[in-house]
Amino acid sequence: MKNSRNARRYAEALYDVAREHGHEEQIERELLAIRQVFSAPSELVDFLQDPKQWMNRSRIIKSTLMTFSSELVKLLLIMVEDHAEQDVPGMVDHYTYLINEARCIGVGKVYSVAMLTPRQLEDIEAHFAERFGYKRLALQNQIDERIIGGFKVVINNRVYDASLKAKLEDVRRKFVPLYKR
Amino acid sequence: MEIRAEEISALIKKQIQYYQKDTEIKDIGTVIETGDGIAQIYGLNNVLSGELVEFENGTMGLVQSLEEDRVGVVILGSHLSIREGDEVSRTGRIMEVPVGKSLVGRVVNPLGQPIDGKGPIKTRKSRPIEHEAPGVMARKSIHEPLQTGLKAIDALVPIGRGQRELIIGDRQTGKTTVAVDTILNQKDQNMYCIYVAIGQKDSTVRATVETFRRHGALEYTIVVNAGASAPAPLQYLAPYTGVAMGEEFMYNGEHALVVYDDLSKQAAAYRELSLLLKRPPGREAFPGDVFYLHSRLLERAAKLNDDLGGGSMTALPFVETQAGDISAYIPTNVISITDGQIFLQSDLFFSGVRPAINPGLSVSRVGGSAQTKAMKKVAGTLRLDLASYRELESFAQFGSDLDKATLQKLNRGKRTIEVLKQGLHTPVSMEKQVMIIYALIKGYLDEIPLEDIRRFETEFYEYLDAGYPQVLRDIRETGELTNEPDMKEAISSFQKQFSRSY
Repeated sequence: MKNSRNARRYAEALYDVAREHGHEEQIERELLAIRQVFSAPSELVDFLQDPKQWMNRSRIIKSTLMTFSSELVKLLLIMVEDHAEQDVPGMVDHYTYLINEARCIGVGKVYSVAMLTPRQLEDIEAHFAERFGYKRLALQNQIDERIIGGFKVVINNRVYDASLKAKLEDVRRKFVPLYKR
Repeated sequence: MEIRAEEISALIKKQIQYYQKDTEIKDIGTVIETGDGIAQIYGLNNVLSGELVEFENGTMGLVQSLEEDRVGVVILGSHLSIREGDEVSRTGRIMEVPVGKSLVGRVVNPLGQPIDGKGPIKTRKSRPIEHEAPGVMARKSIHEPLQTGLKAIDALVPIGRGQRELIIGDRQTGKTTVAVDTILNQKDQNMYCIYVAIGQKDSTVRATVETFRRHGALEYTIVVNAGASAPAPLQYLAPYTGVAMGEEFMYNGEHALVVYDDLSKQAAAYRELSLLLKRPPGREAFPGDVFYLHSRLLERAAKLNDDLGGGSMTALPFVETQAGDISAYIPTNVISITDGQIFLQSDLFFSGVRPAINPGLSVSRVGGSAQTKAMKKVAGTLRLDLASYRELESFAQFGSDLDKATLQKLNRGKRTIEVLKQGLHTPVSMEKQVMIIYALIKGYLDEIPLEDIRRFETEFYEYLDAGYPQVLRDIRETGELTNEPDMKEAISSFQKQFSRSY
């Protein structure tokens, strides 16, 4: 989620334009493909940044992305012109974040020691949706052995920590007053 | 719509019934950059400026700058184990330090942790380090004196309880000595002292603490130390820790004296911090809010009105000048904030005038109303006399044939300067100060050779203690010159038996 300020600006602008035309979902699907091409290490980015190819940049983008929506192509042209090729993955991420916020879906991660069963994941999603203030959650399960036990839900810089590690930390905190740490 | 007590209690009852301590959803952030005691955090939405945050390893941080996509945090404690990508969580609290009488006699760091090896501090009370200063109506005019025990200060630039008096001077001019002597003189004066050492060598602080201990001053003193090796955030926080501890006494109707030694080091630490936080540098590379840094600290010193208990907190901030330049940024700032300044000069110091107070540049804007009547009476003309002596002195160097009145004035001036000299850690009580200055202005010292003046003084005090305790008691208890004939008799009888050294 560490999208640079520039990446966020591009994403916001693209999202606004897409919403005006009412095809933000189509762009979302297209962006996922774009993200793969542009995410580092990307041959395309290296190629676009090569000074020898400066004159060809826009032609290449236009010809390769023929089937994509025109707003998206124009945005990529602008970004390439601004030398912001590296911000493309960040822009895609922020776009996804914006569209999910609008849909009231919280996208995040749930950490556990062992893989959760689909049933457990569904339960967690159903239980925490309201607490995090979303209609629905789309959580991705990730293994993290440092939490010792239990689980930990992280959505947009907010965390619900029901792990054993957090509980032990709590106990430690009760023993050691603030000013002694 | 009205709120009824029953409804509220019913609501609370219901809450109690269903209350369960549950893990809550917390705001977190990630460290994206760390170093030099500063961490840049991504995330931490809704965090407040000045809020405490907790790093993964339990270290606390203080939120300093809020930017569009990041938060600048100063790390309190060890920053060596904090890494990029670490999780940081909000605590929802602002920084507090332990306060109260159990801290008295202890040496603590700016977080309130003991560093003197005498075990934990048993106090339950704590205060936020940032607190609003008392307002206009909460205050009262300063009227009680704070006796420093230094003749030159008590006579020429008197300090009142609740005043903020700046002590300014070059390095090695005896600034710390003034503070230490002042603290030593607060014994049995119903005063708690807080000595805040910022950016000093730990060995120096140790020596100061030893001086306090030897003179029994540690029984009413708290020492807050942020040594030269302490990270900049701690040096920046130290004065606020000291003021929070002083406030506890003040708001409980007691008297506190807080010495900040020295604020130029704190400003330098704050400059370091601000530059690392990428705030734009201003004059002398200090950030724009360096005035507010000191004004919000010193404004918290006050004399409270009687409804609030009548407590007081006196502040003695120190500022070190470079080559006597009081028009630098920090000195001018602090001079304009405080109610007067005591200017110590190195050429005076090296010519043997100690304390090296320059009476021309030193002022006390409110202390005069706190001076005892007796002192005011004897010291009233002292400042003018000294000023005219200085003027004459420079003229007298040109010619030798001076008229009698001029010679007499020069003679008196030399003796005045001699009387205002004082040894290290030898505070003089108010009544004795009154007696010696009375002897001076009435001309009893004019016949005493210059080199004998200081011996005269010490022997005179002993003589008074032995022979005229009631004269001293009268001055001490009434604060007035009630019995001038007795005073004169005491002085002249001592003068007769005083043996000159030649």
